[in-house]
Amino acid sequence: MTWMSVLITIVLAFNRWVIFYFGLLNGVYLLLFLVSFVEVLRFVKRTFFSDYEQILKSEMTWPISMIVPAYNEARNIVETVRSLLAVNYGQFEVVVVNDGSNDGTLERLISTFELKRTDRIYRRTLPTGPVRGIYASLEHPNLSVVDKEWGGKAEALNCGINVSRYPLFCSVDADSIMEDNALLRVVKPFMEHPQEMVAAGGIVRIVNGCEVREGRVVRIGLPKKPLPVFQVVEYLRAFLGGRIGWSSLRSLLIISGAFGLYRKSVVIAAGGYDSWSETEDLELVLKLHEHMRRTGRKYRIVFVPDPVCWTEVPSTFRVLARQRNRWHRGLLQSLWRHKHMIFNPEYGAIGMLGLPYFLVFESLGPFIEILGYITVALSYWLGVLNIDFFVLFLIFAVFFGVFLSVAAVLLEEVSFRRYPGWEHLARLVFYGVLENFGYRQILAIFKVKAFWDFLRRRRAWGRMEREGFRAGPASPTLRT
Amino acid sequence: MAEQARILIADGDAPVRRFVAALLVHGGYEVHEAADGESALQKAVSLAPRLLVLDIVLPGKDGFEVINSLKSNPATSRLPILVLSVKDREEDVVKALDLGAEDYVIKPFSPRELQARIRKILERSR
Amino acid sequence: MDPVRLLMVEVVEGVGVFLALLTFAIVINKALREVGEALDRHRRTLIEPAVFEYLGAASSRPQRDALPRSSSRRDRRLVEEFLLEAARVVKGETRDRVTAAFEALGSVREAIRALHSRRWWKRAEAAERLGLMRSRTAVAPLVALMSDPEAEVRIRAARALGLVRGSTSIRPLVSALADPSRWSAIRVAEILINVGVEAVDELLVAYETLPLNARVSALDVLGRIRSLRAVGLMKQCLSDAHPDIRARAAHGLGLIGDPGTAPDLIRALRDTEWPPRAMAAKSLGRLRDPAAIGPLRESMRDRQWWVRYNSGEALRALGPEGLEALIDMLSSDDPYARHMAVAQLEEGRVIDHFVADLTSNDAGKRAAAIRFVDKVTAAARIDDTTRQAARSAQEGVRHALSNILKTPSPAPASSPGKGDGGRS
Repeated sequence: MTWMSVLITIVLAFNRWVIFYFGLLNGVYLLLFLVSFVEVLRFVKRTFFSDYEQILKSEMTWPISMIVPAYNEARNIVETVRSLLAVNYGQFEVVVVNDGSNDGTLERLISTFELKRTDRIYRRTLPTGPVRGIYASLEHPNLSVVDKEWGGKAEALNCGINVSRYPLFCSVDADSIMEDNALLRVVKPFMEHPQEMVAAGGIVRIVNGCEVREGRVVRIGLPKKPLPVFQVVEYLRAFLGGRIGWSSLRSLLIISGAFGLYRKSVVIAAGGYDSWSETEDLELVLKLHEHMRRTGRKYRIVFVPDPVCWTEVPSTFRVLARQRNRWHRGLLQSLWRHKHMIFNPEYGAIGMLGLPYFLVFESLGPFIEILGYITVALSYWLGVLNIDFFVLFLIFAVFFGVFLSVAAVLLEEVSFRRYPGWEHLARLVFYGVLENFGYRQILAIFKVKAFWDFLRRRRAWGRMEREGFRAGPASPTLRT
Repeated sequence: MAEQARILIADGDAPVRRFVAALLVHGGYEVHEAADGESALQKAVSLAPRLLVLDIVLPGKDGFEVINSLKSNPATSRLPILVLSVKDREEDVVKALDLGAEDYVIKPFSPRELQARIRKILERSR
Repeated sequence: MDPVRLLMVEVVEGVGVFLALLTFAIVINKALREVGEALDRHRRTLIEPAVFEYLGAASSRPQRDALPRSSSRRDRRLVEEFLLEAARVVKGETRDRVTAAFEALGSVREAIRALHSRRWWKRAEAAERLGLMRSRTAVAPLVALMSDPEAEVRIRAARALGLVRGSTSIRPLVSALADPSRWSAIRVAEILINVGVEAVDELLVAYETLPLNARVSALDVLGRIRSLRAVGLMKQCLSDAHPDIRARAAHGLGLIGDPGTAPDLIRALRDTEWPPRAMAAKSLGRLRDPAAIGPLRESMRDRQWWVRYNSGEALRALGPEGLEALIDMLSSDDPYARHMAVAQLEEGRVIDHFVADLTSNDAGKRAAAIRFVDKVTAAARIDDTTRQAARSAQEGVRHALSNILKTPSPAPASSPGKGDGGRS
């Protein structure tokens, strides 16, 4: 046997394996999609008249602390805090945690909101770096600002948790824009199942291309540049076709850092946010699952299939690459940290379904995809490629990808219809087709790179540079 | 009614806004709608209505801010405002009237009473 | 050639056709919906005047006796939708006509039937609608729904009953205060608060028959409704055997605000348990009876943080004389009373006021301000050290510091600043 024939055997075996893997992956996607479809329809049917007004007027509604970590957000912090203070909710407070900014974030807050240093007494339940001072506003009794030395987003959030007063807290990115009734929507499951609820997240939409005034989206539109539109379709697919399904299978793993509501006592019991993680939001949700499974109590971590906030996505490949690199490394870190839960029946659905899915498909998927492309090229070179079969397989793969993208657009059309015009629909469908030629493959490459970086334990922070009206570090928002 | 007086309704709750609008159309007025504070301000200038029916709970700028901006703008400072809101606390009513609102009606309201009040305001501001 | 290939071709074809259908479905769905919505808007403008006339919403026109009959399902749906909108914002005579319209239209009957649906959200929705319709015929079925297995349905039924009103619908609500789920009980309490004065008699009659937790809720509801008729019961409850009842009653008396109850509340400041003491202090702040200043000053030395806090706040609410008392407390021999006085003066912005006076032109004011700030700094410094003493992990350090300060070694539960939740 020559080394050539060994190579051929390997390549052929791998090809067969890839086909099997591909079939399985798409089967899972399809299944998830169907579950989501049923769930979305049920949700839309169930929200008869909005009883938001009743929740709003009720004195019994859970008070919420909104925690806003801010690192060098001087440009838009004032606008963000204003819009948060104007949020449509009963009892709430806003806690801004200035994470050692050096661009005058704190000074802006002090001068705009007449902040005064106080000696507010709080319990340091979660360990954080030194706090330089706590400020309260004379003008707005429900606004406080914590000034601390730089320690990263996770630590800033922990610090906010320590200082916050209410039993529920909501993590809000300083650069995300809330929907009008966002808090009312996510607090609803807490009202319905007060004993069991631990955390809730909602749909995140893309603000690129929308018109924003005074911290509110006043006109919804699609971005002009192609790259963000691809992400619009991707987000639709991920949220409508993925997370809703995972949530109903009781193994929701991701609540976007841009907006999530948590029960404070459980988060504290689970140890709060972790600074070592690249994606502290994902890590927290995993820890909550682990903690609750260990206590053995019935619990719920749910996804509210209702749009709650708007966030800006990268519009250049360079920034997108960095963002996805960070997300993927964060995922790998968390999977590594919680490896004992994977395929462990003690952890129920999350151990037997959610985590295995993330390990086998999410983290290894891109790797296998790229390897697949390489072996196809190799087979061609070795002359063992069945061209007919390959072409058919390719068409099938593309069709299926297109199917999933377009189906997500359909789901949006039958449920929330945030994009009103016909031209929006046409562009979404068009990009749903187009994303299978290039965009997906590029994302796969980013993730393979992340895998490589993870193995090399490179921990350079994926900073995100922004254009347009807002700037600041990004947070992970998306992954299915 | 000889001429159709133009009324602008600003209410964030779509069904409520629709109902009040229908009621006033039925009462013989020309009715325009605004769903949030910003657009209420814009339309108060561009449409030059005879009366603004305004809710306090509005997305974006709230009713108090809207009254404030309208009263400080010379183009709209004389536009009469009738507040129609679920907010029934004394201090809200007093605050709105102090800021310059003409009248304050609490939801739920009696349609006939609302129409009588509107008639009165329009007569006074003629 | 080979069957696998044929199969693949077919699968690809199938998926392709499916895709085309899907795209088609999206377009058709959107188009149909838009056409439907346009049609609805058009029909509505035609229907609205007739419904308004039936409701008698316009005084200028005569009231119609009957709703326009239409065989079209769309029209019926639109009328019902419109009436539901009206039901939410309308009151007075028009409101009664809305109920009459629902009854005439058969919507009430239909919703009652839907209360037996197998899906819980359908039952909940039907209950919700019946609440808006406010038809008396729905009371019995809604009362039956109060024993639904799904908690959310029970709550909606309760809410509907609260909206329908009438003693037959309120009695089951009062007994629902005893719901084993605390959350449900809280929401029922809220519904009763919204019902208001009409619920007071039912609550007073049923009070003796209720279990302990429901009694506590009932006192809370009575306090929030602020009915003077509940004062007698509340006063009596101040000497109840159970401290929770005593605390709720003290709290309720503050909400009701009858000045005649001040002596009872002053007596409650000497309760053996701290929750009634704290609540009595809070309520005395609401009653604003100057006679309470002396007893409240005494309570500033209470062993419990909450009692001290509420007493300080009450003094602040008592106007100039109360503030005077707080300033006087700065020279108290009790470090905890001093600390609380500082905190309250800070929150009441009295400190800011005196600090501003430090640069006043009036020599008298300036001297007063200096004396005041001296007192504050003295009080705060001592307090700071005691706080350290209380926090120190080592028994020896704690002891030494308290010896120097000649104060008793503080028990952790009542150390200033460790009162649960700080100044929440």
